[in-house]
Amino acid sequence: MKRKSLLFILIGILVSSLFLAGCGNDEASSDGKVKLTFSIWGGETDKAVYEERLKLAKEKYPDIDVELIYIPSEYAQKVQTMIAGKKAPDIMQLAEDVHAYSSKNQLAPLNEYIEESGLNLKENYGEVYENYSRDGNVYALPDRGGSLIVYYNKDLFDAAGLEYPNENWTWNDLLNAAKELTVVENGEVKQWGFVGGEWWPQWMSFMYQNGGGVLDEDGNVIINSPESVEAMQFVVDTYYKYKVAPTREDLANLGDIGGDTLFAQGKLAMNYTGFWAMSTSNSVAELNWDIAPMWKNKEPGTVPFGSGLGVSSQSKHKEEAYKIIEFLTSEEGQMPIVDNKQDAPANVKVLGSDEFLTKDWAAHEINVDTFAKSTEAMIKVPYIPEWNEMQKVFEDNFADLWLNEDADVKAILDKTQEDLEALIGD
Amino acid sequence: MNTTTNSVVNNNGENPVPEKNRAIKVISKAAKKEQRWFYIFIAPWLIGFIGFTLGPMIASFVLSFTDWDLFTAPNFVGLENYITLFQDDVFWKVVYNTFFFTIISVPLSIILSLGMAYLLAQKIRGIKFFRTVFYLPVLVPVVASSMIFKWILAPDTGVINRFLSIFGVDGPAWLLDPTWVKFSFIFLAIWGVGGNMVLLLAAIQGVPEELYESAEMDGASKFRKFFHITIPIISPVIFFNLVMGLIGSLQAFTQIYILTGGGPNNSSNMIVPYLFSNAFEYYKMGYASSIAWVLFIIIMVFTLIIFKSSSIWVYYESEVKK
Repeated sequence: MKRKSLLFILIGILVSSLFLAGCGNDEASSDGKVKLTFSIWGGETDKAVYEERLKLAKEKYPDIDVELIYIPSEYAQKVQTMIAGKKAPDIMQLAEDVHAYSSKNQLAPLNEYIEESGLNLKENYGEVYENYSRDGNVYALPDRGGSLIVYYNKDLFDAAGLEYPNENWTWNDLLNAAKELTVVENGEVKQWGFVGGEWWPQWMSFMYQNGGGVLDEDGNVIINSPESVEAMQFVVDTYYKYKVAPTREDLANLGDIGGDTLFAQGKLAMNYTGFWAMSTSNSVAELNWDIAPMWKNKEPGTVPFGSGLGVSSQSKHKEEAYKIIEFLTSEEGQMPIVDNKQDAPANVKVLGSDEFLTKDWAAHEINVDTFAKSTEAMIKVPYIPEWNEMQKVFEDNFADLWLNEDADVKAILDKTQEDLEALIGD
Repeated sequence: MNTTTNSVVNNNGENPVPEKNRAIKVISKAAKKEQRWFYIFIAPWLIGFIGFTLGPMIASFVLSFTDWDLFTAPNFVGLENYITLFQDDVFWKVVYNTFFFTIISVPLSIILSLGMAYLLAQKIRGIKFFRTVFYLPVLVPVVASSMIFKWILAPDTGVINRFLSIFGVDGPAWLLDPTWVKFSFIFLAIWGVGGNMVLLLAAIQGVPEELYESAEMDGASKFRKFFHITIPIISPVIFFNLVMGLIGSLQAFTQIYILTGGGPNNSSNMIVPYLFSNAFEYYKMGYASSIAWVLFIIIMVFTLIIFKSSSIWVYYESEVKK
């Protein structure tokens, strides 16, 4: 009997200690100040820039304390755990998973605060803010921006006597240049003209440029439309028909590197990716590179990148949290992003500002206005609540496209259409 | 408590009945004290077990009957998750892949580690050096060895396919080929057999020398000595390696997450990575919990089979066979 009672006491202590640990005390705001938490991902430089921006916010709102929660790895899981534990950060950095949260009522709609403050979304952020909206509700303000842009090696273009890429290029110009720029010696490719399009923003941009896409405006799946199929066929042909792009196998042979590294090595004439490849390109001093807006086909089209700032529906201080994110995404609040060369800011006024355009982004002069020029071509990315599952559908179905020379593009996109319809339908 | 009392009584007394009562009184004080210490000493483990294993297990069992998405309140859905699971093609594919991987890699690891341990138990010069070399891969973190394997298994420039090309064999694009990608993970598992090997080596070295000597006098060959003395004596260690290897393989995760992410088209995806995706990427906690329970049952069944079979092939010196 004694043994049992001791065991019960132990379990009792354990359970009560778990409960006590579970319900930590709420931060007391005895000094009249509001305390907010703000979760971010990224590297040490990113953290430093956010800190600098929060210092500016503090000057404007001395009564709001914002504590930065820096999550360098496994961001999604940690934020999910915080939300599930009812300890959600008041302000969250968000990207593709924005509507995974918004659809589960974890983000506060910002409409009323926006109306109150008279913030003009379109004027400040361009069309890109729509990516963070769903069913008429705005769930985040765009904070960091940029989009898919073209990186090209000027020396390789000069050597081939070709004109540099620009926003008026069509797929034909792209393909012709890629062919000229692919150099084969003894049956081995020494230099690739084009990077291909395995990564989702890449093939997706081609679909939208061709008037196709993944979802139409009403949310119907259109990935097996003739326009989408034609676009995908073009991408696949750069690998196997024209052989101007390195296949996954070629890249594995080169040590499993990606297009950004291949470009920095000077073995790739044209890459298209986001802002971050500037630092990879800068890491090689002799690389003579520049950037340009994306090419087009039936219409222009590029995929916006970056992240937004949203307010948790659990927050007890939504109004204050909104004030902070409105400031952080304003011209003043965005400037440290430029000063520290961290990223392309989402605020289009900053993107077109002298500070941004005259910044020494590279050792040589580059076409920085590419970012501002790209804003008009930005597509609305299908950031559906089931985004991660949709990516898995792409990955599984497209494996054959990238690995198998004889893959039937139409059949694969038909199957993808079916899988996506099932995913969105249920 | 009862066992102690009984054994004391049985050892001492011819007449157990009156002595038993007395014995309880005398023993119980000391035993009580000992008991208290027992619970104090195991308390850290017990708290950890209840808080971090038993609690979550019960929670996941309950959640497996709900549609919990991590954030909104769970709804009870009965057996729906389990029914969906059995109709889920990807689930069956990952189960097949996990079994394929386990059924080949576990026996192969044991045979190889046994062979290596036997060789490394020989008395030759520099044997310590070889023991170190073969154990070394175990010290390399899975993340690092996975990255190394990316290079070793590269389609044309990798070490394995370069070696094969000497013999005119055009090796496959290991990690990119739906068939061969499974074998890539088996390679990776074999690369880490050093852990098993060390245990088996210790066991082989613990086999009493006199058994070999007497067998030699009877004219036993090396072959017979190995199969009729070494193997039976070290069979508990083989048994241990088998059980642990099986559980580890059925739960393979890190190497898949790093090397292929389960691709191409799920051909290297296994149960735990699939569970992880459902839980943390697709927000299907309820479904992931049901996968966890099916995996738990699979592991239980396999482990039970091995435990039941152990009476046939595992030999304990202290045990009397009937």
